[in-house]
Formats: sequence, structure tokens, C-alpha cells
Amino acid sequence: MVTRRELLQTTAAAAALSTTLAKSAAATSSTSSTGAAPSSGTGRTWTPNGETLASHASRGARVMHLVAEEVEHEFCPGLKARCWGYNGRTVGPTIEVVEGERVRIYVTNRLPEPTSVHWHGLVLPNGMDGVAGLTQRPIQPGETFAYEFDCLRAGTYMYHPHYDEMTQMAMGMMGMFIVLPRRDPRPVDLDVVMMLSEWSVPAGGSRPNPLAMADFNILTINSKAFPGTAPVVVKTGARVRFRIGNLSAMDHHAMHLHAFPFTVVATDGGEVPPSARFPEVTTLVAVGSTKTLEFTAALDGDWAFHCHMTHHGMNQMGHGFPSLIGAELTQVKARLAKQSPSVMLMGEAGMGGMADMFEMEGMKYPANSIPMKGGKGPFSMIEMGGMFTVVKVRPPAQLDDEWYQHPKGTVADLATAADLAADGVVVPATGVSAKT
Amino acid sequence: MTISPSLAAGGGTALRAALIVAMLIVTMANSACTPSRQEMQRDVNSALPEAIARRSRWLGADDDKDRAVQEAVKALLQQPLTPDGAAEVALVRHRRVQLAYESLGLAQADLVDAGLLSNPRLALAAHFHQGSLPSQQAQPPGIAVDVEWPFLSVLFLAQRTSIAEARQNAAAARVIDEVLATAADARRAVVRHAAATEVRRLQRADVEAAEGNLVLVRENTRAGNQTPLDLAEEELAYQQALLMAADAERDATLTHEALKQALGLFGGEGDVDVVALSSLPALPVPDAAIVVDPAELEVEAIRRSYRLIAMQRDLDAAARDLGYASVRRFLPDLDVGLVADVDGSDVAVGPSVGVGLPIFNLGQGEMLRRESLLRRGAADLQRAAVALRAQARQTAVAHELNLRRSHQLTTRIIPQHLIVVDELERRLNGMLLFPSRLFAGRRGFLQARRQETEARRDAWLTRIDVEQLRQGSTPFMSPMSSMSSTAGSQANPSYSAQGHD
Repeated sequence: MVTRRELLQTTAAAAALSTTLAKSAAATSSTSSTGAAPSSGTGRTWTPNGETLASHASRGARVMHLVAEEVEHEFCPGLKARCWGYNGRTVGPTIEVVEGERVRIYVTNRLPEPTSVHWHGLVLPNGMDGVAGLTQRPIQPGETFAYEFDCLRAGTYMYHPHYDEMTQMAMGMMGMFIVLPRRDPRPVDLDVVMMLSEWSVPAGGSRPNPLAMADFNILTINSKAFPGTAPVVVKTGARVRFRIGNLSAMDHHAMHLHAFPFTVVATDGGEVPPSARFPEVTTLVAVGSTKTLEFTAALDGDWAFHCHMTHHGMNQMGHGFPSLIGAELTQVKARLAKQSPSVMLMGEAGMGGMADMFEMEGMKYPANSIPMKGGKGPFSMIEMGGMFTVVKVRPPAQLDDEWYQHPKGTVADLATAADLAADGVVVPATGVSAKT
Repeated sequence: MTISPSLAAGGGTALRAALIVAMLIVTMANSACTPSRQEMQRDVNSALPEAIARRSRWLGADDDKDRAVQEAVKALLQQPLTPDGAAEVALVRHRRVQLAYESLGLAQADLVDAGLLSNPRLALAAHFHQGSLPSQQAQPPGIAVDVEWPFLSVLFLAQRTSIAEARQNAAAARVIDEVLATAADARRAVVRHAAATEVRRLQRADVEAAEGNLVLVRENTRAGNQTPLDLAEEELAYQQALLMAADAERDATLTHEALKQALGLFGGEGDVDVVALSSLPALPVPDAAIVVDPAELEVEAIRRSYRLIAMQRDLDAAARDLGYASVRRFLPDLDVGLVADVDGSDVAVGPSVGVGLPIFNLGQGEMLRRESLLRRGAADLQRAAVALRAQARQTAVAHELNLRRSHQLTTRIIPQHLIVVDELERRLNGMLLFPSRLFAGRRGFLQARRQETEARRDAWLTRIDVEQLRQGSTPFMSPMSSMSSTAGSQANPSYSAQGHD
């Protein structure tokens, strides 16, 4: 879970954004690792756990600088890894420009191998497309290339290497590229940018494995796994836009928003015609695509937003071996305790409780790992991880990091015998109901 | 042939002279020094290391001291035996030591015999004059008195004594070798049994781990999460674990019996316990320097070997015996004596000499036998020396390798297994693996501990071999066996139950 300080910072930023609406005044800035003087971007989007790439105007173009390099990254407290990214971070800083702007993006390669940058989804001259070998020569280590093109079409795009992309993307090299419309046809209170990706980091290891083809055990939003993901805090009734890109190696993600039906208004191919839009609560974001969805945060509360592929909502989950569900393990536990007193065998009644166990004092796990780690919730541990975050909808006066205070009588709880009797519900004494 | 010239006159003088010579010879013979049991015990003990000499006793020499030693041994048997404690017990209780001492007793008897002169022979003869019947008043019968004495027993007294002394010295060297070997065998027996006991404990723990995994898979199969194939495989693994445990039980029993045998114990007294192998002093750490230099051990073993010393002394005795026989062949018998002839009042006294004439038997066969014995002894000595040299070098090499193996297991492999088990435990807590992996990891650790125990055992065995060689005794077991024991201990678990003897 993010720290209270981080949460307050992101909450404050979100609050500020929600009140400035479509104003293009800069709200965020960042310091480039190149040391160039920071300048404000448009500041109209917000990248949770991320930042917007600094830019400045020069010689008729908006100038930016990306440095490809190895970075020390924390997926969530308990798991750090040596990844590759841009400007000291993964996910790379969000590039934010305004439709029609010309950009000149310098790319410095501080990796041990060549690289290139492909501006995914953008319409641009062929020689700026960034496909090493096809449209340019690779950027050798130590070299700085300049890409220059006009951003003709508003939309949600991405950038990533196109040299040994299997390795470099698996190591974390990716970022979002937002071209804002000169005039937003549907102004929103909060414009959130999210990059989905997946990683293979062995529990106890500290470097992603680019050779993984299926065994991805860290699923991230902006390279953060829950409980490391920053919550999205909005005021009640706010219009919210999620710009979601997916540069996972192998998996699409069925992103599901609790409570609020949303509409996909655009893809990286352009606006979805209003006549083609339809309400939904889950949308599949395919590998190599973006989707922009909008909704109204109509109800107060803490609402989950996550990939609905259940294994994508777990952290470093073990797999490839039999489960223990339904097994009588009393004797096994006694024997195991004799062999290894410090272990706690569970799983015969399901995997729940693992998140609690992870927090137990003195319980040992592989160093630098977050197996089955969940987040602390207001009622109990939240048995989720990975590609999961919380949309906190609050009245404007309560935009803080506290858990939602439910009005009395609105939280599911133990049914009383009187209620059961009044409704004629008979609870079977033991086991599964014979009727089922 | 006996020549007994009569001396009519001067017989008294000759008789006196003969008596004086006889007295001198008897005195000389009686003055030959024969060591007592206590003296021989002292001589033997002076060659032994102090700890062994303290308990090495020729029982029967001193009843009070014998009782004290027996009480001390009883006290030793009341507590877990260390290798040194076992050596003390064996030196008192194992009859092989007394057997060796009594061989020394026999040699002592031979020496006594060699220092004794042959007894003179007295012959009396009466002769009756022809026609002088008892009824007649006639001459009384004549009496001839002949005292003969094998004079060669005097002439060769020194040679015989020298041969017997050489043989006694050889016997003494064998006693030392036997005492040292008895102590070393007892120490080895303790090490073997301690290792077998530890292996038995580890195999029992291994069975528990295998059983734990079997129960896991059985319950999980019952729950529908695993298949009959999984269960059958685990059942097999469990049965194999039982088999290995049974082997370990057998080895522990056999080594216990071997220990009792090495200590000379039986009955209720044989229920001895031994200290844990891990409680023995730390073994030397093999590093860049060689712990035992093969060339140095070879020289020391050759120089100190009481077995070779005994063989050399036997050879010395055989050479002396050959010299003795080469003289005796030309003078097989020489009897001297006095002859007295009493015939009435006529008394004739004179010396007599009897000489065996080497005409037909010149002792050729005896010479050939002794020459052959001498050559055989020399060849045997050379064979034993060459074998001892090889044994010493092999023992040094085997000890070095066993130490390195033990060190690697102790300082590298076991810690790595602990790390593996710790990581498996962490992963099981994180539900990152199936519990079978942890059971398997524990079994791997236990098998490594078994390997470590066996390596430590082998290092201790070769260490005792080295010490025994340095003390001047020769292990019975070929060092090749101790070298191969390391590799073969798993393939042939019964190795640990085999004794040197």
C-alpha cells in the first residue's frame, strides 16, 4: 500500500485537477534526469505513481528528452527490482502535448545494448517511426538521437523500444503519449493515464526475466502492483476519463470498474463514433492497444478497478503444482512442524488468509518478494494484488486518504437469526445445502 | 665312541680340576640374566605412548594393580565411550593382549632354557669276575662309574642365549605391535559405531520426512487434487526410505557387536554406549598445506614399525641359528666326563670324552633348512616393508582426501542444504511451492548429513590409521579399503560394520 504521504500528495493533485477542470494551466512538473531545466507541460492529465515528461519550447517545437537507462524500481513495498526505463523510472514519464504541436524528442541511450523508440499509434513520417533496422539505425549505447514530428491527431498513444523489444519492454521500457485536443469535446474533472504491463520476477529475485512467455507473476498499473498502486480520488459526481494502454508481453486485460458503467470513447485508432459507443463495466484492453473510457463517479465509496482475469489480481502467486483444497492436513501439519517448525501450511480451505499471513510478525518469506501480498483494508486484508487499484469517490470536503465511512446500515454484515426467521431462510446445519 | 683312558695315578688331581671347571661353568650358566615379567612389561610399556602404557598390563604379575585396572575399566564402561576410553577397555579386557604377552612368556621360557646347561649323565655298571661265584670266596664285583656331560651345552651357551634373546626381543616387538593394534582397533570400532548410530538416527528422520510426504499426497489424492500415480510414486519413495533405514539399523547393530568384540566384552557388560561422532575433537582443516605428507609418513612408519622390528629380530635369530648349525654340523656331540672303575681295591679314575663323528650326516639338511628359513625371513621382511611403505603413502593420501571430503561437506554442502531448506520454507509460507518440495529438501539435507557423517567417520578412521602407523603399528585393513570406503559407503552400507580384523 502506498504511504500516507504519497496518498496525500496524489489526492491533493487529484483534487486540484478536479477543480481546474479543463484548464490547461500546468499543474505538474518534473525534473528530467538529463538535468535540463524543467518546464511545464500541459498538466491536464494525471499519471498515478508516475510523472509527466518535462518539456519546453524551442525552435518551433516542444522539446523533450528521454534517457533510456537501468532503474531501481519498487513494484510495491517488499519488492524491488533492477529494471530498464526512461528518465530514472518505469513506467516512463507520460508525454503530454497538444494536438498540432511539433515535438522534438531527444533519446539518449544509457543501456548496455542499442535501442530505439517507436511512437505507438502516432501518424508521423516513416523515418521517425522508430523501428530499428527498418526505419532507422539503432541508437547505440551512449548515442543521443533526435526524433521530430508533428502530433497531428489527438488521442491516447504509447511509446516503447523497437529494438530487442521483447527484452526491453519486459524490463519496463514503455510510457504513455497523450495528444490532447486543442478543445476537449467532453471536458472531464480528472484525466487519468494508466499503462498496463506484466512482469516475471522470481520470488527472491531482483530482475525481471524477459525470457518468460507465460509465467508472469507481477501485473502492474503504471509499473506498480497493488497495494503499491495509488488510489484515484475524485469528488462525487465528477466526470472521469481513464486512458488505458496495454504493453504487456502476452496478455490482454479485462479491466473492470465497480459501480460505474463507462463508455469507451476512443481507441488509439481515434474517436469511437457516438453511435458505436455502448455502456459497459468491463473492457478488454488488448496487447498493443489503448482504450479511453469515461464515466461519472456518481456514488461515494471505495470502488475497485482491476483486471478481471483473476490471476492478474495476485502478487507472485505460486502455480504449477497441485492445490490442497479439501485435503485433511492435520497429520501433515504435525509432521511438517517436526521437520520445519517455522512453516505454516495452509490452502486446504482455499487461498484466503494468505494476505493476513504475509503480514504476520516473524513469518519468513523469500527476501524481496510479495507472494500473495494484499493490502490492508478498513474491514480486513484486501485479498488482492497486482493489477488492482481503488477509485475513491468522496464529497469535495472529504478528499483525503481515509477509508470511506459507510452510512449506518449500508454495509453487509452478519445476518441476525431474527432476520433469517422473518424471511424464512433456513441455514443448513453443516456442509453444502442438499438442495444445491 | 667313548674314550676313557684310565689314570692310575694323579686321579685325585684331575678330579679336583674337573670339579673346579664344572663349578665355574655352573656358576657362569646360572649367572645368565633372564628378565622377569615385570621387567619385560616395563620394557614393553616404555615403547608405548603414555595413554596406552597406562592400561597395557600383563595380567597376573601384580594382583592388586590388576584389580585397580579392572575397576577403572568398569568405571569407563558406565559412561559413553570415547575412542581413547575404548582403547583403555580393550587393553585390559581383550584377550589378544594377554595372548601376545604370553607369547612373550614363551620366549622368556625359551631364553631360560637356552641359558641352562645340560644335565650330566651318571652311568653305573657292575661287572663280575668270571668264576667268582657268590658261593665262592672270591673277588667282589667290579663297579664302573661313568659321569658324562654334554660339553657342547657349555661351548654353545652364548650362541643359544643370543638366539633366544633375539627371539624374545622379536616377541616383545610383537607385543608392542599387538597392544598398539588393539588400542587402534578399539578406537576404530567406536568411530564406526558412533557413525552408524548417527546414520541410523538420520535415516529414521528420513523415514519421518518420507512418511510426512506420503501422508500429504495420500490426503491430497483423497481430496481429489492428486492422482493414484502420484500416490504410488510416493509410496515407492517411502518404501525405499524404509529400506535404507533398515540397512542403517542393521549396520548399527553390527557395529555394536564389532565394538563389543574389539573391546573383548560379552554378556550384559557389552551393552556399551559411545559418544556422538560430532563430539570428537575437530578434525584438521585441509588447506593449501598437506595435513600428512605421504613421504614423511612412509619414512616414519618404516622407522617405527614394530612388526618390521620383530621380523628383523627373527631374521637375526635365524642368522645366528644358521651360524650355530654350521658349527654344530662338524661337532654334533661332545660329551666329557669322569670314569671311575672300582675293581676290588683297585680304583681307577680318569676323564672321558665322547665325540659324535660327522661321517654320514654332516648336517646338510639342517643347513639347507636354516638357510632357507633365513632367506624366507629376509624375503618376508622385504615384502612387509614394501607393503608398509605403500600402506603408509596410501593412508596419508586417503586421510587427506577424507579430510577434504569431510571439510567440504561440513563447510559447504551442509550449509548450502540449510540455505535450500530455509528458502523452501520461505516459499512454502508464500504458497510458492507444493509442500512435497520441502519434504524432499529436508530429505536431501538428511542424506547430506549422512554423507557428512560417513565422511567424518572415514576421516577419523584414516586418522587413526595414521596415528597407528606413527606409533609403529600397522593397521590390518588395507588403506585402499579406507579410500574406497568413502565412495563405496553408500553403495555398500555394510562397510561401516566391517572391522579391520
